Amino acid sequence: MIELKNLDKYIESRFQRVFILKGIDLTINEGEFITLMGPSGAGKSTLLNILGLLDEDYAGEYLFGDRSIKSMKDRERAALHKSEFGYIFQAYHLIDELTVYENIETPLLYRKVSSSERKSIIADLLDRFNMVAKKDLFPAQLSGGQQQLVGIARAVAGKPRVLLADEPTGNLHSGQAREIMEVFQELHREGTTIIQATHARENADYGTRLIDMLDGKIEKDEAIIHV
Amino acid sequence: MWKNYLKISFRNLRKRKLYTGINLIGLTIAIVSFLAICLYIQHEWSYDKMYADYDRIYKFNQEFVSQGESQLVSSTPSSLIPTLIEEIPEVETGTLVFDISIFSSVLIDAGEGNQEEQSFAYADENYFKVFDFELLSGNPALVLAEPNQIVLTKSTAERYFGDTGSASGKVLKVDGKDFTVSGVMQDFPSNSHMEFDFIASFKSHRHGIEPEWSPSNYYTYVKLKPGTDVAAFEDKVEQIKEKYLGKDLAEYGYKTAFFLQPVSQIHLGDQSLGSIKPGTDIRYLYIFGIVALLLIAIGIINYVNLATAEATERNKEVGLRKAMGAGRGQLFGQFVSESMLLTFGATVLSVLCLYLILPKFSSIGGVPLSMDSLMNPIGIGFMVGLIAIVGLLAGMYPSLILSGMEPIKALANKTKMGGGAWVRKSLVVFQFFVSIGLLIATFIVKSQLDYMQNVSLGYDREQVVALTYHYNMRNVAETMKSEMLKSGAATSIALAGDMPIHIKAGYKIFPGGDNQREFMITGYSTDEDIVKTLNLAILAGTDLNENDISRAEANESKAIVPIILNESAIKEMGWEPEEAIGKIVNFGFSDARIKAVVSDFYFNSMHENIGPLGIFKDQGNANVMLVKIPSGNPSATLASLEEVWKNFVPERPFNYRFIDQEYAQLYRSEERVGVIFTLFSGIAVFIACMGLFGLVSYVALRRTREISIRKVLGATQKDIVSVLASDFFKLLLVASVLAIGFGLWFSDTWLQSFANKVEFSPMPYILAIMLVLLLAGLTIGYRSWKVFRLNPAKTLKSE
Repeated sequence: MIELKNLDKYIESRFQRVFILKGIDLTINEGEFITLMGPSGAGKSTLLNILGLLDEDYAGEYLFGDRSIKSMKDRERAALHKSEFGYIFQAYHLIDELTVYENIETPLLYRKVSSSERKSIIADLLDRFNMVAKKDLFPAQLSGGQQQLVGIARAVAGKPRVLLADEPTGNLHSGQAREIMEVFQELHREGTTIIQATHARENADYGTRLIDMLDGKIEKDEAIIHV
Repeated sequence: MWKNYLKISFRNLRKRKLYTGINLIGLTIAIVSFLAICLYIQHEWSYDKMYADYDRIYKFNQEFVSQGESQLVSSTPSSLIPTLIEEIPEVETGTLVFDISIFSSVLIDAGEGNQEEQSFAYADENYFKVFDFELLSGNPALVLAEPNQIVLTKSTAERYFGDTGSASGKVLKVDGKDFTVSGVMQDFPSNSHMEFDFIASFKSHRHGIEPEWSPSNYYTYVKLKPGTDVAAFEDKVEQIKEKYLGKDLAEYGYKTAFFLQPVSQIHLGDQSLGSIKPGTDIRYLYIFGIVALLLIAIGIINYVNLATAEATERNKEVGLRKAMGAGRGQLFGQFVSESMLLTFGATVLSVLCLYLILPKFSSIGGVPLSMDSLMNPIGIGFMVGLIAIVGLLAGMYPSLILSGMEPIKALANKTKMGGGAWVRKSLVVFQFFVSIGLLIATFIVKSQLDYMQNVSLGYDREQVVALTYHYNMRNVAETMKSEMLKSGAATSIALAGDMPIHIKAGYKIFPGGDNQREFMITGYSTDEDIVKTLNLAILAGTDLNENDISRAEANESKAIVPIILNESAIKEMGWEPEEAIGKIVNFGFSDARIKAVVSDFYFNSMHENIGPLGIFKDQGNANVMLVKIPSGNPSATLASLEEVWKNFVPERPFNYRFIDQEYAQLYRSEERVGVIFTLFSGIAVFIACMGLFGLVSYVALRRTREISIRKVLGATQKDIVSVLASDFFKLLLVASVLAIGFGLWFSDTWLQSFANKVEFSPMPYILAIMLVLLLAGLTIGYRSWKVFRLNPAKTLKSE
C-alpha cells in the first residue's frame, strides 16, 4: 500500500547537510498496525508527517498504491490526503472554539459530506466512544483522555484507510492510555491501517509490527507475535 | 459550510473582545462617515433630475463681451423665450422665471398687515409645463395664465391661511396690488435649484405683457423636442439674436451669445454664473468623496493590521485544520467570512447610528438628508455591495497569510510574521499619513477662515446695522434719518445700494488722455454720509456733502457728478491720490469729477482682489439703510430705531441685519468645509489611534516575557515605554514627513481660490504633528503602563 524508497530528509546548514531521515526503505501493507519507537530526535514524527503528506520537502521516492506522490498534481495530492489519512496528536489539538460535536464535524465539512450524512456519522461515533452526553461541551471542559477520544473520533470520522498517531498517549496516565490503545486495536481489527509513534514499549504490544528508529535510520523492523 | 463558517467566526469574534471591539468601533465610525458623505453626495448629485424629461430641459445663459472683457450672466431678456417658441420648431415649450428677490423684498398683506418676503418670483404660463411640480390645488395650465394670479407653496399657504385647502381664491396684496391665489403647490424639493414661497403670473408684470430685448433680468428655460441637436439649435438661436439684437449690439460695440446649460448641471456647474439658490462647487464633492474613501481605508487597515498581528496566535488552528484536510480556499473562506461578519455588524450598527446623527449632519452639511435614500432596494443593494467589498478588502490579506501557512510549522508555532510586519508597518504609515494630512488641511482651512473673519476690512463692520430700504420710502427718508439721529439710536446713517460686504454693480470708467484706457469699475450708489458711517479713510480731497448732486440729477441736467474713487482705481489710472483730485473722468457714460480718494477696503469676498471702486450719490438706487449705532445695549437701540421707523412707514416691517454677521455669512460654504474637515480629521485620528492601541497591545502581549525580564533586571517604566514606543514613533515620523508634503500641496491648491490669503505659517503643520504624536504617545504609554504593572514573577512562571 505504501512504499518508501531511499527516502532522505535533511536541512541544509551552512557547511553540511544535517540529516533527519536517511535512506529509509519501508513497505507498509494494508491492515498493518505499526509502532515507531526510538528516542526523541530519531525522526519518528518527521516520518509520520511525510507519510501523512503534511511534509513534502524530502528526497527519494514515496509510492502510495503504485503512484508516486511526487508525480501527483497538488489537487490530486490534496484529494488523497483528505480521503486516506486521519491524524491523532499528542497534544490532542482540538479547536478550542468548537464543541465536541463540531470538532468531529470539521473534517467532514472539508470533505463536503452532506448534512444528514454528517449527523449520522457523528451520532455513531459519539455513541461508540460513549460521548453522547458531552457533545456540546468545549475541549477545555473535558479531561485529557476524553479529549484524545474526541481527537480519535475526529480522525476516523472521514473513514480514512490510514490512521497516523504521534504520541497519542504521551499526555495521558496509564489507565487512559490503555483505553486509547484498545480503541486502536478495535479500529485495526476493522481493517484500518495504523501507524503510531510512541515512547512507551507497552503500546507496541497492541500492534503487529515494531520499527525501532535511531538517528534518522531504521534500526530494527520486526513483527510482534501475539501469544 | 457557510453556516459553519459563520458560527465559528461569530465565536472567534466573541472570544477576542479587544480585537473585535477595536475593529467593530473603527469600522462602524468609518462606515457611518462614509454613508453620511454618500448621502450628501447623492443629494447634491440628484439636483433637478426629478422633472419629467429633465434631460431635455435647458437653461439659457449669456456671455456678454464688451471692450474685450467677457462676463457670464445667467439671466436673459424677456423676449427670448416667446420669440423662440414662435420661431424655432424644435422648442417643445419654454418658460421664463423672474426672481424678484435679487432686487428687493416684497410686502405681502393677507389682511393682517404687511410681511416682508424674500422669496418671490414671477413665472409665465408655461412654468408648470416645463417643471412638473405637483399642484395641490389648481390646474397647472391655468394657474399662471392670467394677470394677478399667484401660486403659493404648501408651507406658505399654511403660514398665511392656516391650511392649504382654504387658500385658493383668497386675495393677497403684493406691494399694495391685489393678487388672487390660483393654486397651491407642494413645497420645492430640497434638490431643486429653484426655491420660492410665491410664484406670481408674469402677465402681472409689465414685461409679461410687452416682452423686450432689454434688460436681461430673467431666467429662461427651454424644453426641446426629443432628438434635438443642441448645437444646431444654438445656431438657430444665434440667428434669432442677430435678427432682433444685431443692430443695437453693433451700435454700442457689445457682443452677446446665448448658450444652453442642461438643467441638471446648474447646481454643480460653473459657480460664477449664479443661480436662484447657491450651488455647490463640484470639487468639494470630490474632496468629500476622497475623504470618505480614506476613512473607510483607515478602518480596513485596522482590521488588516490586527488580523495579521493576531495571525501568530491562530497558527495552531490553521495547522490543525490543514491536517484535517482543509484546502487553502476553504480556510480563506473561513477567515474572510470573519471579516464579512464583522463588516456586516458594523454596517448594521452604522445604520442605527445614522438614524441618530443624520439630523445633526444635515445641519452641518446644510442639506436635509434622509434615511429614505438608503432604506430602499438600491440603498440596501449599495450597502450589501459595501459589506462585500469592505469585508473582502479587510479579510483578503490576513486570510491569504493565514491560509498560506505551512501546516507543520503552523502547528509547531514556528511561523514568523516577517513579511506581514513589513506590510503592517506600511499600512500604519498610511493611516497616520492620512490622519496627519487631514489635520494639517483642517488647520490650514481654519487659519484662512480666521484670517478672513478677523482681517481689517478697511471699514467698520461692528455696530453697523442694515435696514431694508425701499424706493417707496424716498419721500420720508431724509426726515426719518434725522429723527433717528436725534433719538440717539444712530450716530450716522447712509442710504446705499448694497451692503459694503458685497458691492455688485459694474460700470466702465475712462480717465481720458492718450495713453489711458477704459476699464471696469464697481459702482457704489449711496449718499453723502457713507464715508462717516463706514469710517472709510480719506487719503485726499474732501468728503461728499449735502450740496453735491446725485448721479440721477447730474444725468438729467447733463451736469458733472462728484465721485469718490478708491486707491486701486487711482492706481489703475496711474495717478497719485493728490493729483487725481479735481480731474474729470468718464464714469458710466457720463462725466464725473474726482472729489476724494479713499483707501482700499474689501467690498467683495476674499476670493477676489480689491478692484477699482467709485462711490457716488444716488439715493434712488438704495436698497439698504446703513445705521451706525452707538456702542451699548443693541436691543434698546434697535427698539428706538424701530419706534422711529413705525412713525414714518408703519406699513413696512422693520427688518435689520448686522453687517458683521452678514459678513460671516459670506464664507458659509468655506465655514462648512472647515467644520466637515474638523469632524472627519478627528474621526480619522481616532480610528487610527484605536488601531495603534490594538497593535501595541499585541506587541506588548508578545513581548510580555521580554518586558518582565527587563523589569526584573531593573528597567524603569520609561525604559519599558521606550522599548514599545520606538518602533511606532519611527513610523509616525515617516507619516509626518509625507503628510507635510501633502499639506504643502493642499495649501497651494485650496488657498489658490483666495486672492487674499493667510501668510504661510508652519503652525498648522507643527500643531497637527504634535497633536497626533501626543495622542499616539498616550495610546502607547497607557498600554505599556499596563504591561509594566504585571507581576514579573507570574508572567515568567507560565513559561
